[in-house]
Amino acid sequence: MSTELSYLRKQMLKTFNKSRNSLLAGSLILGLPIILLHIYNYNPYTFHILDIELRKIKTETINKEDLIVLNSSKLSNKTKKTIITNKDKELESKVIDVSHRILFLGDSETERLKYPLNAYCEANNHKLEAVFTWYSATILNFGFSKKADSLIKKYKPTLIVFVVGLNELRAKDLEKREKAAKQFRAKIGKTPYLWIGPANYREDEGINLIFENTADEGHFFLSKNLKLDRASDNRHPSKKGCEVWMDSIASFIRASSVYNFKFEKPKTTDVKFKAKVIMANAAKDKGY
Amino acid sequence: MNKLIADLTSFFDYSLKEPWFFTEFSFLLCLALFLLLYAFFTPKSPWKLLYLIAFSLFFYYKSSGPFLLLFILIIFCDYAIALWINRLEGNKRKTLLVFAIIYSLSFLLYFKYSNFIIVNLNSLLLTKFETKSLFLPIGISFYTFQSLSYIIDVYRKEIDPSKNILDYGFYMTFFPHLVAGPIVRAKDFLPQIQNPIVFDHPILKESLLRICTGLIKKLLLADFLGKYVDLIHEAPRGFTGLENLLAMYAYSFQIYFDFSGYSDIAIGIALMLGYRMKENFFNPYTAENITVFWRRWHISLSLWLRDYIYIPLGGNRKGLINTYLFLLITMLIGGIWHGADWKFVFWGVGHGLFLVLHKLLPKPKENDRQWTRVLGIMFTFHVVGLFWIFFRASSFASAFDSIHQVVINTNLTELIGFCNVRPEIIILLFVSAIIIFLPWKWKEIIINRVISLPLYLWPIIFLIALQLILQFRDSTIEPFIYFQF
Repeated sequence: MSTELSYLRKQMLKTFNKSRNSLLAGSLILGLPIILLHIYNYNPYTFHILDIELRKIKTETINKEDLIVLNSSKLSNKTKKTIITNKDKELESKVIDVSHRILFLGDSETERLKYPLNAYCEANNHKLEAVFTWYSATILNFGFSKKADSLIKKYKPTLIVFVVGLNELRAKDLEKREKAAKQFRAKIGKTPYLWIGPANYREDEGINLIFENTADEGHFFLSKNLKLDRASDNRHPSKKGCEVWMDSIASFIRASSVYNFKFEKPKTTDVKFKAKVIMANAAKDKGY
Repeated sequence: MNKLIADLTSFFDYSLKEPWFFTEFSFLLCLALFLLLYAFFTPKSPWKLLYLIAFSLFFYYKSSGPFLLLFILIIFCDYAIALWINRLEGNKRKTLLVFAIIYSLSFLLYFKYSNFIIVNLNSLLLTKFETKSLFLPIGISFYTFQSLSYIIDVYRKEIDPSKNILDYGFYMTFFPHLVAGPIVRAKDFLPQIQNPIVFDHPILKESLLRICTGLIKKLLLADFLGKYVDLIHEAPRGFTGLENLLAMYAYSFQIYFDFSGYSDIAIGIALMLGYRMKENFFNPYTAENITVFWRRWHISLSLWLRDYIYIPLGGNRKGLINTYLFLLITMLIGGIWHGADWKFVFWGVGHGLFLVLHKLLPKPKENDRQWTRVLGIMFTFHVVGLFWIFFRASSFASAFDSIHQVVINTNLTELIGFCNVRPEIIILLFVSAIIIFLPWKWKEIIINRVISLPLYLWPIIFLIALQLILQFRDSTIEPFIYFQF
């Protein structure tokens, strides 16, 4: 009897040891890679494999400081100047009852922004002719390619609305981008335009400043200080964010003497979308 | 160093807005540390249970903060009620059961459905009752169903009530199934407390594989597909029929990867701790009809609805018409369980109607099995996908917009342009379709091959999988879709 008990005890101990060792191995297998990734996370160095940066656990976390609240003190001097000057002129200037044919160009930000823009156009008797969404595009694509030229030639808009920059917030080759911005400005020629700055999800390295300096006075809307609701990618403004964004752009237009057309807030955003949508992908076709 | 200290301090904070998921790297690290000590408890030690309960409660606290107290209160009350029911007989027993069911459901009704009821009452009776801003305690739909099944099983004398609050507390709080299922039955789980499975290397590899595939399904596939789905469903009318159609496929895949990924991780972790939970999914999109689909999709919920609603209503014992009616009622409850919204009711009833329709149709002949099976799979997948549109859309209008675009404005020649603009979505849909429609036999072969890999390779497999996830994921992790139910 005691031999049997002792045998059973031994078996149980054996099973327990086996089970314990497997669990310890499991703990190690789960924990070791995560510890390594955390060590890498808190390390200032970054590793690359085949030119691809190995991302860290929290690399892309957006700090609260990066979320910039709309604050007039943070608006650029040039934009402020335009608004202040135009506020003074607001009473003097008379809104002309003009119907614009609008060409909306830009990077993926146009994808959602085109809906509130369309609603504004419908409510104010403008026509949104076409939208050109160039995914992953930067000012380099628009400046150095002939896409914008051909679209302007084709649609002959009376107003060009342009938004770009979200894909180049980290860009540091600013001289090259300044050259591209100037080339794009030259393509627009004498056609009235509104240049919208990117809806920053983080601080940029100077791309907004380049756009602001390239655009004529009062033609550039700085979006970076707006606090916008973001889509699930945490970068692009969401549908709700785009509506707020468009309202801010419209306020800018109404307060400006450069744009003397009607651009009142629509009663509904649920408007049928009729404009022609053209899409391209800069990752496949950079255009120059 | 300061960053590390700040991260460690904030770790003990709870966040109602950002629950602590299985997919958080901090959770996985915590789990590894937890296992380190867990390994030294003997299988039947009460300290092991206490240790597990403490960790489970901490896990719940991280996601629901003060609602942890409500959860503990519910556990104690359920435990006492079950013991009381067990002592009574006859009408008293029945009355107490009715009271227990009403009491259990009252929390769910208050937190999940009160605003829905108020809004509908206001529009029906033209009253002006104010809605309240209520936080839905995480996992309440799941643990309410679990506690109900326990009390009803005790009433039916299918199980003895737990004599030990620790055992019952452990069953209810066990963190792998706590917040989003699978809905575990007491009769399956409680006996395991005294007889946990013997943990060895093959089981370790099985559990690691489940966790790894779950993470990849959720973080790599579901979240990526979700971004495209979100975009289309924000304004379905602004996108072509083809884009809406692909969004329907994408969401069908997304919800499967999301929820089955969660279940995989939950089952994998439970296995590591020595407990086996039943499968919650079994190749559901390869079902040749809607009845088979519901035997393979969210199995724990389907079985719960069958055992605690459909059969008690009368099942198929009260004539054909009543059978269909009971089926519709069951699916309606299943629909509204997912959320307090008419679109979920519509989704549930829609599935119920198709289940009835399937029962009405003649069964295919044996000779026609092969081609009817393929057609059946395609048809069932599309019917399920169509109903997913209502499940995902922000409103009925948005769902109908999407369907309108699919029916009226689908032009397959646009596929070339779509491939040019969004190649990553096409690749992802293609890969997802292969994973989803691969026959189970082939999947088994792959699983066995991976499990046979030597143990020393597993940290490397895990590291590669985690780094891959990091390379593709964005800054925030999308919550599991079923967290909100």
